[in-house]
This record gives sequence, C-alpha cells and structure tokens, in this order.
Amino acid sequence: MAEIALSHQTEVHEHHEPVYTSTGTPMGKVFMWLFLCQDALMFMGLFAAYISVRIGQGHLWPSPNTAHSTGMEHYPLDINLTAVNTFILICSSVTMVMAVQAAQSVTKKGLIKWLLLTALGGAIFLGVQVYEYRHLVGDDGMGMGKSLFDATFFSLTGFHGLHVFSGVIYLLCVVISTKLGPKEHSENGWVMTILRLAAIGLSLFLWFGPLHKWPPIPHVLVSMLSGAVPYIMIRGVKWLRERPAFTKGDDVEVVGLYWHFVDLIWIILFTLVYLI
Amino acid sequence: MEHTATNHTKTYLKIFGALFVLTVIEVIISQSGMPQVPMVILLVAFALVKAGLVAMYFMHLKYDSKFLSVIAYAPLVVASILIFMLAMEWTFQPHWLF
Repeated sequence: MAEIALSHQTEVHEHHEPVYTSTGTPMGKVFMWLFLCQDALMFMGLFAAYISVRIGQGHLWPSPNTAHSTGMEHYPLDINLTAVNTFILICSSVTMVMAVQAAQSVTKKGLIKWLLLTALGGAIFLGVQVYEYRHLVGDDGMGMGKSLFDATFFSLTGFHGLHVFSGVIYLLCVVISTKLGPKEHSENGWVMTILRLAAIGLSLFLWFGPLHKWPPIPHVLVSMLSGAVPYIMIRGVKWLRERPAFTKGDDVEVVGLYWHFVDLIWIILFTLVYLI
Repeated sequence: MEHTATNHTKTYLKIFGALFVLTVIEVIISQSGMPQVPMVILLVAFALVKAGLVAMYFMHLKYDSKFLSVIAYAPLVVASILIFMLAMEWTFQPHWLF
C-alpha cells in the first residue's frame, strides 16, 4: 500500500469490539450473508421467471444473434455501452476490496479515498443506466407494458439498479461517518426506531394493503419497497448515527460483501439479459 | 479471533484482470454469430466462473470459515431446482415419459 498508516489520526475505541458468533465469525458478517442469501433468492426468482418466459417465446425473443437472421429491425440493447458499464462496476468492486484492506490496516485516508471511488463507480453506473433507459423508452418506445422482453428487462435491471442506488447511499454514509470520526457515546436511537417502524409499516401495507385497486403497480415494485432496498439504506443511516470506530475492518467488510454481491448479480444479469 | 490484515492487493489485481478479459471474450462471443446452443453454454459458463471469482476472492469465501460458504451456497442449490423446474414447465413434453 502506498498510503502511510495514519494510526495516530484514528481513535481506537475499545468498547466497540465486534461481536462474534460461536462459529468464530463476526455477527455482522454472518447476518449480512444471511441477508444476501434471501436477496439472492429474490433475484433467482426473477431470473427463473425470465428464463422460463424466454424459453417459452423461443426464437421470437430478440437477441444479438437472432436480430440478423430473423430480419428483426434491430436489437434494442447497446451491448458495448453496457460492457463499459460492467467494467465500471468491476472496477468499483476492486476499489471496494482496497477499502476493506485500508480499514483492516486502520488507514483512515485510504479508507475514505477507496470508499469514495467505489461510490463514484456506482454513481457512474447508475448514470449510464438512466441514459440507457431514457434512450430505450424515449427513442425505441420500450415500456413495462409493451412486451415480455421489455417487462423482464426493466424488472431485472431496475431491481438491480435500485440495489446499486441503496449501495451508493450506504457507502456515502460510511464515508461521512469515517470522516467525522467515531462517536463517544451513542444516543438513544429514536430516529432509528421511527425509521424502522415506518419501514415495517410500509412493508405491511404493501403486502396486505389494497393492492388489487392499483393494477399498474407491478409486484416487483412491492418487493423492492418492502425488502432489500430500504433495509440497506436504513443500515447506512444507522451507521451514520452510531459512527462506529473501524477497529478491525469487520464492519467495512460487511459493506463490501453487499457491494460485491451487487456486482456478482450484475455479472450474471449482463450475460443472461444482454449477451444471450 | 485473530484477524490478519494480509495484503492481497496482487491477488485482487489478478482477479480484476481475469474478470476484464473474461468480459471482453464474452462480448466477442455474443456478437460472433456462432450457433445458439454452444454460445449459451459458453456464456453461462463464463458468467459462472466470473461470479465464482468475485465470491471466492472479493467476498473472501476462500479465506473465511466454511460456515459462511454453506450460507452462500444454500440459495444456489434451491435456486437451481427452481430454475430447472420452471424451465421444464415450458419445455417438457409428456411423450418423453411414455
């Protein structure tokens, strides 16, 4: 590492020791993995639906290969642009592992720099995705209700994009918290309580509320709003309020796990939706 | 628990290189106009290798306890069954059995 370890700039708080499970793995890590496990299943559900719909449509489904043979006008998705976007996301994954490494060697400056670069990568990715959506909806006339191709495309990439969005917010919360330095005493968390209650209330409303009266709302939106995305954002806000000291880098590693998962999902999504 | 701040930078850069090269090959394959079936098999295999590299090295499954790997692989098994059954529903022909 090129940075000098700035241990004198970092206040190490003995009271913030990570909690370990009986397996010897930090609690935060185990639970992030459990969260990723259920989030992966949610994505797998979407992938399974996509694959079955696509097999059902057979050669009618537009793909970069069949576009020429079936005389279809053109394949709407820009593979080269998205390949660049994939590259950006992979780069942000690399900067994330560097951030985890900086946190483990208690290098505050390095941690902030790498986390900011990671968040920047995520923001660029989102920007390109917004540009792509504008082009597809505005110029090519694609839309959720137009065809199965459009619906699965927007559901999958939209759901993933929201993950990136909440990931960027999570990262920025960690950056600000690291910049401000660890907090001496944690206050009573009434803001967190209100946020959690609001999230639970929203989830319950979305699951049991009068959704049949709003047919335009796709169920993907329901799962997005009631599941992973607010959870990750609330984690970010919680971090910002508690401002833990990054004594062993375990907490930053948990953020990294989420970010790499988003990258991993994109690798599969890019292949399934764009390339095949 | 002992926590070693090992410097993995070289490994990370190697993985980054591998991911980059695999992505470029994938994009070339997808536009090469080769037959559908081998192309799909190749692309899915490449994607799984890339996903495996990210999970093993970036998400530290290779270095962490096996307990986490069990949590990580469990949904994959469930999801494979789910995807397989859904695909069967579309492609299955009853005369295969009789």
